[in-house]
Amino acid sequence: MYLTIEHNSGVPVSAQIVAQVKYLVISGQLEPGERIPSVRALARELKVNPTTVARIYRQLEAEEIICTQAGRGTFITQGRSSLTLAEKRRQIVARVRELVVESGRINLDYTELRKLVEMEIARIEQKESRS
Amino acid sequence: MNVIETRDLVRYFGAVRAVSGMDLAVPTGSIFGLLGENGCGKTTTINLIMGALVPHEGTVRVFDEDPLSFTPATRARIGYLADEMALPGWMTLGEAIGVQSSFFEQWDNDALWRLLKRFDLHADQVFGQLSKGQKRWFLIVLIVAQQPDLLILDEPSGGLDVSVRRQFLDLLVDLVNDRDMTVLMASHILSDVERVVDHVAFVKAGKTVCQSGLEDLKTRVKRLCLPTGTHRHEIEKRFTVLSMREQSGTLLATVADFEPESLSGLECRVEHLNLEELFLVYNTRRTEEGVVS
Repeated sequence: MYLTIEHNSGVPVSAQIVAQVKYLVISGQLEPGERIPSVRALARELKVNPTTVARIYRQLEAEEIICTQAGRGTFITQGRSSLTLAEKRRQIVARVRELVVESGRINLDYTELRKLVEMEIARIEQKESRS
Repeated sequence: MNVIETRDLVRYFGAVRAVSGMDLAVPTGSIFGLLGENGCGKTTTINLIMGALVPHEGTVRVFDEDPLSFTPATRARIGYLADEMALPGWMTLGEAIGVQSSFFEQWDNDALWRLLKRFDLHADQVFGQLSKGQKRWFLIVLIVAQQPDLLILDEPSGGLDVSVRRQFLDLLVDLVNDRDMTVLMASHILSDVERVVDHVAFVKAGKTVCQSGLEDLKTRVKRLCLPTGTHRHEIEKRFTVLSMREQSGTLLATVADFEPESLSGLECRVEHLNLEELFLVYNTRRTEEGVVS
């Protein structure tokens, strides 16, 4: 589980790690049932306080992304939970929002933006139909 | 549980109130950053915590004891590295280790040599001929070998090269991770300590103007960038505002209790603040505005 932290970015470390773990799960780099490091081991690896990692694990557990089995370790939750799907949507919505805001900032009008999105979808659809 | 607690702590030097009502609570297992500009009272506070100075008002408790009457057993649980600490230049490292180890019952020689190796240090080297980074490393390793439960460091990484600083800070995190140590660290180099501290106290004019878990602080305190037309009282109604100003056509409001839900209907961008920016927010506020904790 490769994670990186930007210490001076202002984003809380726990928020950074939670987002990265979610991304690794959504993108399939962490598979359901896969074992992840213990709180202590991850704290050592990332060089952060174990209380911070414990907080991260509590949040991921509450969101059913990981589960801890007493005596066995911590694992990525088995099976596709509806929560992961909702989370996927949420991440996409967040990116779309960024895209829209960014377009506004460079004065790209929305008709133009819609065209670009449609073109991109068409390109991928064509690629998929060919393969 | 808190390892260190001070309440309403006051210490004068002549007419100068160097420490002026300091309240600190350092939780067990934390790396606690006592942060403030030079001359704000950090070192005096540490001296009060170590029992090297007598407070004029208020109380200090360390491991639930009064530092002025520490038992030898409690004193042995505390490792202390001062800003300007040195050994005689002619002394060999082996001699220094011999002297130092005789004071402590649970001396960890294995850890000592494992750590000294990282900087290519051996017993027959003379202290005076070490580089600045090596000296500092040798001194911290001597303290780590005491196996203290509480480590107190005054400006630990000042004047060191980046790579030495990095190793130094990583060592602190390892100690907390592996040995459940608590670290209190006074510093004015914020970008450095941001990597390792999990609790901070911002000190200004001898008192804390903010004290919090760092993650919590970064989650709560945000800067909102709003259109200039926004009514200021609309922001104040929703949030505790730490500062508000207009800059290049934007209203910048720094708030102490950010919640995404409280934004509903407000057109705004939310900026995260790093430790340096957080420090500036609290340090530039007038102290009369009250302590936010």
